[in-house]
Amino acid sequence: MNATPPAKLDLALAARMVEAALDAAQISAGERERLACAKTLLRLEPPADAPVPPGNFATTLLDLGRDGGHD
Amino acid sequence: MTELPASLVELQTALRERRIGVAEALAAQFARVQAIDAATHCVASVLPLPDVNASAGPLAGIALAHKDIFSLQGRTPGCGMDGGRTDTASTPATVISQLQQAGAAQSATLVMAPLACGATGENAAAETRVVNPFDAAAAVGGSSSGSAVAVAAGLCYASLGTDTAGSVRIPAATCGVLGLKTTAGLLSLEGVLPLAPSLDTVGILARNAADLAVVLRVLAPQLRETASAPALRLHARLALKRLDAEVATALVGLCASLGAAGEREANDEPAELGELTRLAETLLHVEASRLHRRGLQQQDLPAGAVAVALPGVAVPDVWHGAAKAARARHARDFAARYFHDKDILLLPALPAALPDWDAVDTRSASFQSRQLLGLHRFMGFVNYLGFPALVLPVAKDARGRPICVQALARPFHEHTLLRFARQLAAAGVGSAQ
Repeated sequence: MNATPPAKLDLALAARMVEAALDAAQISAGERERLACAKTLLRLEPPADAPVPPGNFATTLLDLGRDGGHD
Repeated sequence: MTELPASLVELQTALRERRIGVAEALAAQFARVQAIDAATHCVASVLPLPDVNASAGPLAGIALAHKDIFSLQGRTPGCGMDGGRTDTASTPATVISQLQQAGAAQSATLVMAPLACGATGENAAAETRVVNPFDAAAAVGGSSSGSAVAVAAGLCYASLGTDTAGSVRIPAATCGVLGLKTTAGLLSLEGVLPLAPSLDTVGILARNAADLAVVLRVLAPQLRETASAPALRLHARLALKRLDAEVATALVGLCASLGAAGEREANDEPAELGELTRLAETLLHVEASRLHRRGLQQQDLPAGAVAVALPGVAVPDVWHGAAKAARARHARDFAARYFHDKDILLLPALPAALPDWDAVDTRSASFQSRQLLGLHRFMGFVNYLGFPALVLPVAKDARGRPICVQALARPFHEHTLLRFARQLAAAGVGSAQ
């Protein structure tokens, strides 16, 4: 399980998160790979929006498939 | 030597009218495998000619070939790591079983990016690079690279691949064939190597819409089809600012000729694309890291798989949970925005003319990461939404390489996409050239 992240990431924080997660998972990785992971974390950081109410994805697709369209 | 018809549908007709026998048809299709593989290196393993007396059903006499990611009877797939292994305990993947029950034979398993991780067919374990039948210097997309090459080169009429972030649509776009990513949950993933289970889908590649529809009807007979229906209502978001001039010109011309709505927004990609791509990548990295945790620990994963799986180790669980929770809402919002009064949303497939192989091969001195990343740009968000999407060729660039468009439809409206493809073909565009 990965810990809850801090409110806003920067590269140094992201690098520390990567370090901690790889150590905890007993995974070795080179400096370049770790840096790439940290940059990926920055890209994936969610905006500070309100939480989204969960919905059933499979049911939603079925509902959307029934609506509209010709075929 | 038996001359085979150009399409699966024509071969079905010839078999039905007994102008060609099942054994003769299968022998001719199996005979193509080695010669085409010698020229394109798209085959992982050649399979034995089956007992033709066992062939019955709508696909009797038809030999298909599929990405080497599906379990077969007595054989586990190689998944781009090796040629696969004999395993008496192995049973066919559900989709393979469905095709067999319809009478189809399988002539070969086809090469792929290792563990389905890669936007090209690059595979360090292969002695030779898979060759694009259009132009040997042109890139071959991945990860279902062998499927696209085999279909384009005529090794088979149709092929199954898998699409987690574009792995059917990218190779189809590079080889000028049709590539259908099916609705999430439509086709069974049992017996298929997973990459990111919530995004994984089985897809179909073929040279024309009618052939693709034949295979789809076998795999998903429950899908609705209407013989005669009103004209399709089209909307285009061409993201012209993101496209190179040659692709933009071709797609603008296509949309103008089709009367697609959306001209005012033609310059912009869908506003949600960035956020949906972030969410798709969150699921991809986390789920791949969970599946490949042991390989990461033992450091025995290929580089492409490490690049996909390793970042997911550090992604907080709460991000993954939020990405999954938001999926239903985003699917509803997207449908409301683009499909409330339209049947088809047209998007680019690739943002630039098809690059040279060396430009997207990470081992090449000419490698350009921008070109490689561009292959993904309009792909992964569709897997997050779960909608079906079809890539199909609509023009050729100055070098004669295919330019493709990507069409999206509502969930489970795959036949709407195929109807669109038939409409284009009738107008002289859209079928593989």
